[in-house]
Amino acid sequence: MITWGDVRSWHAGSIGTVADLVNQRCEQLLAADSDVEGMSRLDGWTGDAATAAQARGTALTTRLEQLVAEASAVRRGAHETQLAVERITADVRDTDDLASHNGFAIDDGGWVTTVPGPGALPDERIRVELSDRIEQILRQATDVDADFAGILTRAARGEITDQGATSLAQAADAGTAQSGLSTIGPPQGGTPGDNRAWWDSLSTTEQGTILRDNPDLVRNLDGVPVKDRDAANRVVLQREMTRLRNDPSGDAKAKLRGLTEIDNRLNDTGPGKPQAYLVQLDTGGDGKAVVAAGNPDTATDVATYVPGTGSELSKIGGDLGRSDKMWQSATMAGSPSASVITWVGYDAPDELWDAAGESYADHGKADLSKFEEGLRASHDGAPSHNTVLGHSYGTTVVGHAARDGGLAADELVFVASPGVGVDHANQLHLDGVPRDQVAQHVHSTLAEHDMIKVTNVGVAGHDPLGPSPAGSGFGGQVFDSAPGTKGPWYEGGLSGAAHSQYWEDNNPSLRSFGRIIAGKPG
Amino acid sequence: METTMTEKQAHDRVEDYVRAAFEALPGTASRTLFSQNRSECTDPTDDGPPGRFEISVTYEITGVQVAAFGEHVDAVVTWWRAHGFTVVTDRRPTDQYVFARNASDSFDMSIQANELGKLYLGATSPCVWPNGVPEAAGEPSETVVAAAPEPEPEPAPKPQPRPRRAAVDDEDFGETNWSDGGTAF
Repeated sequence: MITWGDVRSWHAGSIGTVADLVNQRCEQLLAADSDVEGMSRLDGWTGDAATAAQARGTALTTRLEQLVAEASAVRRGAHETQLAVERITADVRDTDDLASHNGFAIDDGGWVTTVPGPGALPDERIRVELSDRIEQILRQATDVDADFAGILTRAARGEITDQGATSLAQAADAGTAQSGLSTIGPPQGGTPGDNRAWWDSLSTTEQGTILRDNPDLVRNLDGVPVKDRDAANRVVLQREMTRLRNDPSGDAKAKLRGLTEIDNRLNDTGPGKPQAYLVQLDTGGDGKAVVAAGNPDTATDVATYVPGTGSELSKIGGDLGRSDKMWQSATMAGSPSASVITWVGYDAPDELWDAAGESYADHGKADLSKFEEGLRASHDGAPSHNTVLGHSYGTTVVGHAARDGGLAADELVFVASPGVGVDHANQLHLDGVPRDQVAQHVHSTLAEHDMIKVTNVGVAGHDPLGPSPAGSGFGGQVFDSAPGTKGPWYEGGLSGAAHSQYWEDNNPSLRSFGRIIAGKPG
Repeated sequence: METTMTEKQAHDRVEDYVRAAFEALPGTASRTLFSQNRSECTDPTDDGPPGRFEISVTYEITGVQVAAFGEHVDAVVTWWRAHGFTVVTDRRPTDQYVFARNASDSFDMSIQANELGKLYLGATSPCVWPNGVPEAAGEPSETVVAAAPEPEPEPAPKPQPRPRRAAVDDEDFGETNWSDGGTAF
C-alpha cells in the first residue's frame, strides 16, 4: 500500500531519466529499420547458405520487432508516469502547504493532526478538505503505480506484441497502442469532497477527455466544479432535445418544452440575466434539472431555490424566471456577486393533495443535502454565504433535509409552507451554526390569503407535515409578503393564486428574498 | 376575458415612467439598464388565464454620491406623488426601498439602494396579453418584447389594464382588488 510518506519521496526526475534512456534506445532501434529490412533481402544469392541466412535474418527481424514493441510500450508508460508523478508530487506539496498554513500537520501515514499553537482553532472544514485530498492523491498514486507496474510486467512477460507489424515503425506503433496509463474514475460512493479532490487530481487533458468521451461520468456528480458539469451537460442537453423531437409521445413533448426553456436561458445573458450553468440533467421519470443563474463556485452569495407541488422538468421555465428575479433582488440588495440555483432535483407531488404526506420529501432530502455539500466542495476561495429557499412542498423537502441530516447552508427560507417536519426552528441543523442560534437563520413568510393555510391544521396527530414555520410558536424569523388574491367566502377567503404571488415585482417578499440571500435581515 | 394594452405598449410605458422619474432627479446622474423582465403572470395550476405577461425594467442610477441617495429618493417620491403614484411600501430607514403604485393604470415603480453604493429605479406593468387580446387556449405566445406587434385596429374605447394586486401596505389592503394570479404552486 502506498503511503503519504511514499509519495512525499517520489521524484519525477528519476522516472524521467528512465524514460529518456528507454526513448534513446528505442530511437536507436528504429534507426536500424532499413538495415533490418535488408537482412532478409538477399538479391542474387541462392543456395542452402542463402536460405539459412534468410531464415536467420527473418528471425532476427521478428525478434527486433517484438523488442521495439515492448520498448515503445515502456517508453510511453514511463513518459506518462513521469507526468503523472510530477502532478502528484505537486499536489502533495500543495496539500502539505494547505495543512501547515491552517494549523495542521500530515504524518507519513496520511493522518491529519492539529498543531498546537496560539490563535484561533483550526478550521474543521480545512481538515475535511485535507482528508479528502490525501485520500484521492493516494488513490491516484496507487493507480499510477499499478498501471506502470502492469506495463512493465506485460513487457517482461512478452505479452506486448508487434501485432503482425511488417516494419519496426509499425511495431513501435503497436507497442505504444498497448501501453498508457488509465484514467481513474470517481471514487465509488464518495462524498462531494472526495469527488472534488478526485477531479482536481486529474490532469487537464484527462479532464478534457472525460468531458468529451464520457460526460455521464461527471455531469451530475456533486463536488465537481460547476463549469465542468455545465460543459458536460450542455452536450447531453442537445442530444436529448434531438431525441425528444423524434418522439411523438405527450411525455416527450412536455419534457422537450422544459429542455427548450433551459436551452433558451443558457443562451440568454441579457440585462438582469447572468451567465447560466446547467448543473444537472436527467430526463428519466418526471425529469430533473438544476440550473444556476451565476456561477455558484465563485459567487459570494449562493441560493438554492427548491420549488414545490407540481414542479417538474416540463414546467421549469417559470421557476427559472423566479430565480432570475431573486438574483436581481439579491444584487440590488447589496450582494457583491450572487448565484441563484433552480433545483428541480426531486420528484415533487403532482397535486396539492399529494403533498399531505412526507414520502416525497423523504425521497428528495438526501439528494438536496448532497447537492448543498457539493456546493461547498466545489466552491473556490472563502466559503460563500449559502441560502436554501423552499416554496410550498419544497419547504418540506428543505425542512426534512435540515432535520434529518443537516444542511450545509447558512440560511433557510420557507415560503408558503405546509410544514417542515419539526415543531420548532431549533430542531433543524445547519452545518456550522450552533443549535441555539439556528432560529436566527430560519426565515419564513406566508400570505394572508394563501390556500396552503388549510394544511396547517395545528392539531397534534392531524398535521403530518408539522405546523407552519411562519407561526408564532415556531421560533424563526418571519417577514412580510403581500396578502395575495382573496378567495371566495366559502373558502374562507383563501385562494390558490395567493400561493403563487411571492415573486411578483410588487410583493415585498421578493425584496426580502434578495436581502436574505445577500446576508441581511429579511 | 378582458383585453389589455399590448406588450409593446406596456414596454414603452415602463420606459417612459423610468425616464420621466429619472429626469426629476437633481444633479447630473446617469442611468444604465440593469434588468428587463417578461414574466408570465399565471400558470395552469392557477385559476387566472395563462398567457399574460408582466413587463418590467430596472435601471441603475450612476454618478450619485451615497450621501445624496436620500435626496434622490425624495425627488422620485415627489415626482410619483405629482403623477398619480401612491407610495405603498416605504422601508426607510432600515432598508432603502420605496414602492409606489399608479391607481389609474396599475403600473408600479420602485427605487432602492444598497450598502455597496448602488441605486436602482424600476417600473413594472400589470399583466398584459402580448397582443392586447386573450390568446386562444393552448397557444401561448412566443412573442418577445421588442417584436410584439401592435393590434389592428386598436379596440375602441381603449381598454384599461385589468386591475392588479397592489404592493403591500397595511392601510391599502382593504381597498385593493387582489384579482390577478401568480405563476406556480
